[in-house]
Amino acid sequence: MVNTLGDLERSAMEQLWSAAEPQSVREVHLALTRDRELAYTTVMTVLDRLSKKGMVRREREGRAYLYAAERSRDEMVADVMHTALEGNADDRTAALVAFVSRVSPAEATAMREALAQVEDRQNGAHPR
Amino acid sequence: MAAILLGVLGLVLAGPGPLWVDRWRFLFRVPRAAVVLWQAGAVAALVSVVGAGLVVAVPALGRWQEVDTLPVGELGRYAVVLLFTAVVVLRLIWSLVAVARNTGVRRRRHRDAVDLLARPTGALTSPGLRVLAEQLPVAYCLPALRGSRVVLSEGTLALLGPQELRAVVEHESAHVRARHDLVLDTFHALHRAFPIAVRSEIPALQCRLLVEMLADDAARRVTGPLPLARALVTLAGAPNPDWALGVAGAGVVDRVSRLADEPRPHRSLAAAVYLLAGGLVALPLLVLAVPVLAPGHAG
Repeated sequence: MVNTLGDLERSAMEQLWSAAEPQSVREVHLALTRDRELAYTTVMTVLDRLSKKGMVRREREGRAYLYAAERSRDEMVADVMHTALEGNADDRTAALVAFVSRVSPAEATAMREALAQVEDRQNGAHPR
Repeated sequence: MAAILLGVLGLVLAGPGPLWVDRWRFLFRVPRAAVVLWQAGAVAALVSVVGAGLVVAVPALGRWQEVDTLPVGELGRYAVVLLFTAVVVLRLIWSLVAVARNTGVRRRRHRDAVDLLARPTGALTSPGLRVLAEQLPVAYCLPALRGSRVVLSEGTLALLGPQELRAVVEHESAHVRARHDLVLDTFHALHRAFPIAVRSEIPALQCRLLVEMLADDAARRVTGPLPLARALVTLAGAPNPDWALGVAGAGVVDRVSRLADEPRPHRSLAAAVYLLAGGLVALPLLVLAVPVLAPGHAG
């Protein structure tokens, strides 16, 4: 397993999502070192980065900090898919550039006819 | 006289001009030149409006001492023109900043989320490619200076064949390479600079479609037209959740049907469109320059 920062952030996030309660750095460290060598400070860095990105909430518990996921995995997926499918249509400063947007049934028919033309042209069936 | 000419030119370029050019379907044959033409139109409109303001303001400032003696009508005219110019310029600056910041923030948030949710994929090797474990088919890119992403979903991988997937990835990579998002963002900001009453949505929508056609051309060069056309039809026709209905899929039919045409360079058409774009920008500049070059005839 390659320990890039991205992989570690993903693993730390998985741990926070699966945990019932906010986790201390030690608990996350314990979970992540089950299948790899990892310095305690690295886990601190990873959690710090996640909290700077707004993915993780940090709360004080006595002398230690506890970490919890800001949103559940499902909420995050729903959010991403919502943006991906341009659910927010009136928002014109597009965060992303979609390959193609969905069409109405009428447009779908016209689109299939156009595809048939491309296919004909490719098969040489359509005389020029 | 120059102020009136520039004002009329600015209004025509912002309103009825786009309505007219919108019908020029031959522009789809030269998408790059067409994008330049739309940009030139926007720049020319802006130069006209700002120029009109300057033409009025510069002599008016010179006569500041006699402001009491000027007729009310003339004062009012100065005020309206100056106000309009100031509004356009300030709105342009503000909207450039706002659009850049807004897009940047939202894109970074989205990318962070995708990075946590998706796996880097081994099946298709392309840097920055991420696959979401979702059944709804999606395909899009998140362009950025560093760390761009092309995002697909398991649903997309299941729906498309290998060549079709390649076409999709090539299309999105073309967007990322050419930073088409910057074209759209700048355009969007420029468009927002004009007061709602005189501006048109058409240039921004047309440019959206035209950069898609540019990316389509890039993908077609790699896979040929058929896999791309099939990928477009499959993904555009994919079922949509209720909340995403009503999204305009305008232009997909145009994108597919132009893939039936032989890809030819259309050099003379492109040259003509570039020439027109140059002329558009030159026009308000010429109107501005005439009184300077021939001061004797200026009013």
